[in-house]
Amino acid sequence: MSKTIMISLLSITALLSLWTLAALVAHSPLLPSPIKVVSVVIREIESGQLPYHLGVTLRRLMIGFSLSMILGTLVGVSLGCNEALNRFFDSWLILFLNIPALVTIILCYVWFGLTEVSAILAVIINKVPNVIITLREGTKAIDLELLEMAKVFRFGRLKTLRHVIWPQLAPYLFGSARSGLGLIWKIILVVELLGRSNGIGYQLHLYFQLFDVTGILAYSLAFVLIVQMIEWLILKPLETHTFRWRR
Amino acid sequence: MNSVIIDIKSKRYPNRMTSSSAAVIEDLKLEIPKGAFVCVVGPSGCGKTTLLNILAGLDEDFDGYMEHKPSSETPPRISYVFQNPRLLPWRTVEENIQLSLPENFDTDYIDHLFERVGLKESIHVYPQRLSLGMSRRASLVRAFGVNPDLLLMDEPFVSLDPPTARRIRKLVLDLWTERPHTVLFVTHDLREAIELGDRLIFLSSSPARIVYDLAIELPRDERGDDTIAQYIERIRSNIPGIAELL
Repeated sequence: MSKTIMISLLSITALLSLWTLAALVAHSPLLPSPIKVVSVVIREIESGQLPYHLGVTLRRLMIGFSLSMILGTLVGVSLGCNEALNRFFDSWLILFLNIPALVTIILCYVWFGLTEVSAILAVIINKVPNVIITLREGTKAIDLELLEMAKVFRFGRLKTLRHVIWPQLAPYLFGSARSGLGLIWKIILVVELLGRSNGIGYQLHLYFQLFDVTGILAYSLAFVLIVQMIEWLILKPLETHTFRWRR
Repeated sequence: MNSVIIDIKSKRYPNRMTSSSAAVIEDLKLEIPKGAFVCVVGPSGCGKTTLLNILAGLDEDFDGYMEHKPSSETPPRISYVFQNPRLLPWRTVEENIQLSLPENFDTDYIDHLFERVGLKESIHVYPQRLSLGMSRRASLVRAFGVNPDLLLMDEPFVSLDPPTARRIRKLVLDLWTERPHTVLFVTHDLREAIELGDRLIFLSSSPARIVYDLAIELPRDERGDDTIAQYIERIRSNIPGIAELL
């Protein structure tokens, strides 16, 4: 345990040293040192700007993420269960999967106005096809032999869902949650940049116009750290618990 | 007299390549009286597992009918020892068994079963830690634990080394002697069938029909290796055409 922590610490220190060295060599406001970036983060926290914009973006992230996961799981499982339905919607799915994120964002804003609802809708349309495909494959991979066993021994619907189906879908859900979080927060920033007047994306836009690289890096750093925290504090422990049976 | 009656006029599997269908079972009629230990023997691939799946209610797509007598409001309780143990890998041995039991199960009997099969120390273990023999024994606890009206077994000793298979065969017989459920036991091993059953059903190769129905008169405690070998010889010489099925 202590050895893995040592390696992680060493790795982070090495990265920071490289960054500092590069900043020293470049000696330009376009490449600030880590210390400078952190000092801007602290300044922005004290002024209340960073917590406010971070909060707004996180709220959008959570709503977009939850709705995408729920919707995608429901549709994905239905498609996995029903071959006719799957064949019918397959081409739709491919279409939605391949529409560039930027196009859905622009169209949502054009059609539904520069509102919170269209912002979140754009996020969902971008993420849902991924969840659907992952969960569809997960459903197809469900072990029919175990389902037969559950039927013979009269598990009933609820027990079958909880003890037979859920554990088999869990890896797919975790997979799409992970990739979803990564994808969604990147899309949200573009959504905010294009049509919202708050959030991290808006702030990045602002600092870009000012050509303030330190500000851009400060906001990115804060957000990356938060997303990492979600991974460490929520996803990882949940995953460890769910897969405790694995050797 | 309680019994299970099954009459399959025909069971066919569709063939995707030719969009036709092939008969797996044809004109198979069988009555299993309560408490009988019936062994079904037949060449591999002849439709034995299909027969069990129909009896288990897993396959309802066949032409014919099945009846449990006397018929009652509550459907008969069926349990199944599959060829693979089919334990949920993400639940401990104990959880696996408990999930399968009815609400008002007999705790003492389950404890007793765990003791008898020698898994008392392993109930909190996940199935991946068990050897195949142990998993098979756990699935026996599950099958006997529900106190079934009909117990189906599908070659439950296949791919075990001979000493382990022998031990588990003895175990099945002991558990059955304690509580003689109605059993339908499928195997391709005639030796095994004679050791366990009190009735032998020979199936033809696909489509499966009953070729011969034989009551085994040998007392169970006299079924040693030699006696069984002699018995098989007698069957071979007395029943014409049986040899090519074995």
